[in-house]
Amino acid sequence: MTSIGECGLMFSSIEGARSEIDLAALVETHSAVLFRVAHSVLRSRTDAEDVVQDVFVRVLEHRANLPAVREMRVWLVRIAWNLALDRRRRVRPEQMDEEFAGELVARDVPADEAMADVRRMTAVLRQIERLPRDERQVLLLSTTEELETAEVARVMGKSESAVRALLFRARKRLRERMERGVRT
Amino acid sequence: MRDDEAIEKVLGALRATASPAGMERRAVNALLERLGADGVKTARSWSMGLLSSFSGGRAFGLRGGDLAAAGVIAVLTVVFAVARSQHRPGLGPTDAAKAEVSMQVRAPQPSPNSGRGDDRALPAQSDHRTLPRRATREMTGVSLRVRAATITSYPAPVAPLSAEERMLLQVARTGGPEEIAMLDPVARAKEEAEGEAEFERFAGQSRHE
Repeated sequence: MTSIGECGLMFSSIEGARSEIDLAALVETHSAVLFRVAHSVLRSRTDAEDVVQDVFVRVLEHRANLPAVREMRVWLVRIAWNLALDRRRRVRPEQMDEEFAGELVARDVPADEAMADVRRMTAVLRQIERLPRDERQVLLLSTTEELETAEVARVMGKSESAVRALLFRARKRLRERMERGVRT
Repeated sequence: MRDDEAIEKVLGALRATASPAGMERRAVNALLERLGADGVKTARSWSMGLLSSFSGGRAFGLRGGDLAAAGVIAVLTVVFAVARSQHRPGLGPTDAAKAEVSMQVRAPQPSPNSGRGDDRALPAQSDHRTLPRRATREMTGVSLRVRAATITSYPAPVAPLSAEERMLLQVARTGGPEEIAMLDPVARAKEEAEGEAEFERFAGQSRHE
């Protein structure tokens, strides 16, 4: 798999020469992480896949700017994040959250217990959406296992220590709100 | 389930979500379609970009009038290439653009160490002989070097059941042995015969008593 450094090297090497851009390799290398980022926002596999395609269409449209991109994965994750947020505003997120929570419930538990679990996990997802913007972003990006703290920091334009602090606060706030049973 | 468990389960599920099979292939196809849709526009902007990259033509000893003439020639060349590709029998404008992109699809290069030499090649090899490579570069701007050795073709994934469908299944099919037996006529006949024999035994015992 191509590392970020290798990608940066490839694009810096074509800067002057306008030679070929291996877009298929970009798709192959980064689509999985972009899917996870989009899915963390949308909680829908089909919508997340649509976002991944939209990301690469954007790349195609802005290929003239690619030589200036040094950290390809960070740049792509930013695009995916923003596209996913845009899409989430257009769809009905509550319905997606319920479906996603329903998929997580164990099949061998009684129906009433399963319904209670679905409600609880839907509440978790709802409370995640109500976190302050930066805390929500760092919490969801940190669930993308391919992204290390340093990369999350660069995606958000913050320092690593700030990201760690935000993550700690996000988890604490989420736990407190769940315990209080905040409802709207 | 406690709150902590629910939080960890949700975050863990987000972390463990795997991308659908064949997503990369579908993304590349979407890009190919996109390129096919705006191939002509790309050609125009690419040719203008090439002109501007020649440092205003001074490197080649061209003056203003010569530069304009060179621009006209370049545009005419691209228009000619587009017209020629569109008049190829069996190819519409979109198909022609796709063919030019797929022309750059490389044949799989089976590596002796990779162990993936059995991947399928894309059916675009013959176009290498029929289309000029340079024209392709100008048409597409970006080369989609689709590597068949690494991106394989998958069918679309089976759509998952909705939450309502899953709950309906759980309610309707408890999966008990009696229910399963009722679906099989042979097993059902056997079960009825056993039930009848058991009743006869019970009735016989009752009569003796």
